Amino acid sequence: MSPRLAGIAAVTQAVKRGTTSAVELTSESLRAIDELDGELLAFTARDDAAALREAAEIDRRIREGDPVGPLAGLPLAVKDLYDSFGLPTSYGSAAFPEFMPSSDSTAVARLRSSGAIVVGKTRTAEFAWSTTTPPTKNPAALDRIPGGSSGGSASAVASGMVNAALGTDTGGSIRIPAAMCGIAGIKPTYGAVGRGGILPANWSLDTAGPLAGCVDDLRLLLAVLVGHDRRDVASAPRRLLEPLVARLQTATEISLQGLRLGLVQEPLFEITDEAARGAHQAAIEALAAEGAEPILVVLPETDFVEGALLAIDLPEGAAIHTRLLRERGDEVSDEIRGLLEFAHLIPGALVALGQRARHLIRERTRRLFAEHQLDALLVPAAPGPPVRVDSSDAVSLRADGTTEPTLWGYARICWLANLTGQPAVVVPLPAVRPPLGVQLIGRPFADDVVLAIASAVERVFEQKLRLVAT
Amino acid sequence: MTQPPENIREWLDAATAGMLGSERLDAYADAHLYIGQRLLRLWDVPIEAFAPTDVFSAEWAEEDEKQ
Repeated sequence: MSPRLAGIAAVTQAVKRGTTSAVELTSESLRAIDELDGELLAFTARDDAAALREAAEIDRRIREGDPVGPLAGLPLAVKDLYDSFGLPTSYGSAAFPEFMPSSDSTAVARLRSSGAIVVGKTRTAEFAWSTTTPPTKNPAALDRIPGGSSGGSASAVASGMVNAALGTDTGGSIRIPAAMCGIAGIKPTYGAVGRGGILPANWSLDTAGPLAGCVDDLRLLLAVLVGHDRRDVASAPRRLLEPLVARLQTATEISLQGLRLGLVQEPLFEITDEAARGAHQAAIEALAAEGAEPILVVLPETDFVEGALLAIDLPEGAAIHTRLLRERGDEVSDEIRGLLEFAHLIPGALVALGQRARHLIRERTRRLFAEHQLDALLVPAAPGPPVRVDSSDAVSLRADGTTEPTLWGYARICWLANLTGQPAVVVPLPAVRPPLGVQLIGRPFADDVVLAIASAVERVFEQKLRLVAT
Repeated sequence: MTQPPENIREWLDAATAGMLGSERLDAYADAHLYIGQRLLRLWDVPIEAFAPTDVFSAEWAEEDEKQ
């Protein structure tokens, strides 16, 4: 196996020791993109010469004994919603064909100053408003959608074109594609990763975070990404973030023995696909066999999650894009334009109730963790496998006899953590094709803890579920 | 500067940035129905069950204390 495809810790150590070089890794990543992206269509922009120049600078610093950052020489990609100096940002929209940012977004600047090499921008759904990312393909199942809206980032990582990528998550846009492409992803605590220089989809729900091949890689990336951002009005204070960064810098091993994992019984987390139900149950049993304690919990307030999310997300999104719709609406796709126009008509009383419901849901979730002494919630990452590319208008049957558009179902199962601001990690179920995963939701600003739990879960899945297939 | 509207129809049109009556509202009716059904559940939010918390004032006071 190429050293580039080992975990981030191994890759960056190899660069620092001189057993490989940043230029070698970057060249290999660019060759992989040349070879694979003609089919996968995950990338929207690259600047090979600039990436190789940055890599050569890392190698020079190492040769001359200058300090390099913790991600020295790591090739990665950035969702086309983040400004990245030298690469165009289109926000997935025909309305911004040639926008060239004059500076890096906060997250990209942090990655670059830690030694990472940005090899290109990855495709996003238009303004990050979809659970799929056409025309990007899913490398784990070419006939299935890759999920969205960070589908380009997930496809780039899952295919091995890059070691990691940045995504954004307003209503599941990191977790959905991670689950569908069979990789790991984290929606960090709201306010933990600065959003300066990212096009907002929604002011009060957007989070920025990484996708990678394994959970420990997410930890190493988050240790660099977390920090106060003056460009982001919702950035959390340093007193919360600095201790979190310090904890993220060291891997913590957590035993599954006695770990209390809440299984929420409400329909919000309903799995609509029979094979996926079986795989999820097998995952719970594998964790219980290793000593984890699955605890059945009820959270009736989750009945309001879909309404609250939509009542907040749609009007905020409409407010963000109103001027664009008014002045250049014909450059926005009919689907997104129709959705945002509809959002203008949502009654104010429902928006107020949505905000009220959000407070209620957050408070009840907090109490649930306290009353049951939960370490995390363990819920499905998706209600079913990714649909076929030609079936994106499919509907799924719910247990109550109603139907839901399958693409909306992928989002609904992610929305609790967006409303409460909690960190949520997707751990893939290995060897399950088409891919599925589980979602672990932790306590706010304890991203390190939920990642340590996810890492323990990942180890069990690798050992016990490798041979399970749906 | 935007001219003040002269009647309620004009006001509604301005409040929705001129988007009333769009054909796209009909074209995506199915998706909107799904959203509408979820939104209507919010009428059942128990508004009396949760005491309001004025987090903004609390944050302001906290900031003042630090200075």
